[in-house]
Amino acid sequence: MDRIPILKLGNLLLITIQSEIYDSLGIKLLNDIAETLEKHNSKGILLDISSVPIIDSFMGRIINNIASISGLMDAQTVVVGMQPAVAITLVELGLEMPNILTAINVEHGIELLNEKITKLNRIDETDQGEKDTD
Amino acid sequence: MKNETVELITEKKEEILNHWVEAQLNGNVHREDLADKEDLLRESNLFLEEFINVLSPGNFDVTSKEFIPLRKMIVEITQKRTLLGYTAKESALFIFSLKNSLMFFLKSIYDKKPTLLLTELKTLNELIDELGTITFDTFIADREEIIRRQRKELLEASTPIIKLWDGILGVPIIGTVDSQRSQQIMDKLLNAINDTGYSIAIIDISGVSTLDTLTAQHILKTSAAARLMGATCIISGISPAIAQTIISLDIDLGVTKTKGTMSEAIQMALQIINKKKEHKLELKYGQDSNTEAGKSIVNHHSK
Repeated sequence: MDRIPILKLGNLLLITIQSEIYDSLGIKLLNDIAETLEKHNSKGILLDISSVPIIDSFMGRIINNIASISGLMDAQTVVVGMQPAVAITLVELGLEMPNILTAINVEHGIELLNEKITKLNRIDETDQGEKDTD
Repeated sequence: MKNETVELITEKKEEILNHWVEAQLNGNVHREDLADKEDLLRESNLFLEEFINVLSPGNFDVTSKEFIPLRKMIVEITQKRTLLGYTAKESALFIFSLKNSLMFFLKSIYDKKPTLLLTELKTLNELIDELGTITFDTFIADREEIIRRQRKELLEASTPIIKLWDGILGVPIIGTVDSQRSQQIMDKLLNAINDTGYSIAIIDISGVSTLDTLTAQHILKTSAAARLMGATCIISGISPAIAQTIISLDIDLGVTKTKGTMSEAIQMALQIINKKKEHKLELKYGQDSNTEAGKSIVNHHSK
């Protein structure tokens, strides 16, 4: 059976979807991501969909779920390289995904994730600093 | 139509042709400045020949199969004449003037039978009227084609996507925007984002006088789609009238950023880019040196 590879890249996970994605594959990907996140304790997920020609409402929801689940597990998700046609379709479907971070390519995506992660770390540090003084 | 009539027309073809051409030359149907007498004669001869060919006692339905060659010929004649500079009226009169000549010859054999003459003339009249109107249809269809082509060309030229800066795309929109044009802007901008990999797009609508609901919706959809692709859209130059439209139509701009003028939008875009660069340096050199390194880049850009 098909499986979408999940690559570990430092404290990030890189997932490149290179085939047309169907429902069962999407659900499997969701489970795999959750397990890999736990294993490596990653802080960010890059979901590269630049070679996906079509995304339907179900896949849109899967992507939303990936972002929510990884958010709960303390990892930021960035969707990278969405095709114009896909973007138009999702907007027409009303799936504007306001809670998801997006980037134009993997390079920008990594930058964005690093920015977010350092920002979160800093907040944690200041939180701890405040606690220490107490 | 009686067999006799068809026979008569076939038999007296030469005479009818001469009479017809003569009438055209004398009337104001022939344009001496555009075509000479030989051309007219040749054209009239070809048309009359084809006309007699399809003329049969039973069939007067111009939409039928038999009439296809004749209709094609009329279309060709009209197109040729339009190119030469004939007006629609002149092209139509070319066909209609045949009526007079045919009437003249019919009168000679049906002189003693007025009722028969009347019915024969009626059918002939209807037939030629039908044929004559084809010239109008052709003329209008040609003009429509020209208008369609020009509109397409105008549409192509009217929405440039320009690279304003490394990483910034500009879309100045000028004139009225209907839903077709806004659709095209959407396609072009999203494809440009995809091709260039630029992450900021400034849509300047200061040159747009009015905006309807559908178009406003389209621009917002463009902005949402661009965000999904990982780009940021900034809309600049919203005029008071358009701002009022947007509010009164209760359109939600959502997360789309708006700025007063193009220059402010560019400033904002540069700030976003600089912030990213600053952050990159911060990661590279550590937190302490970030302020100076970042500043030097901001200065570099603002120069």
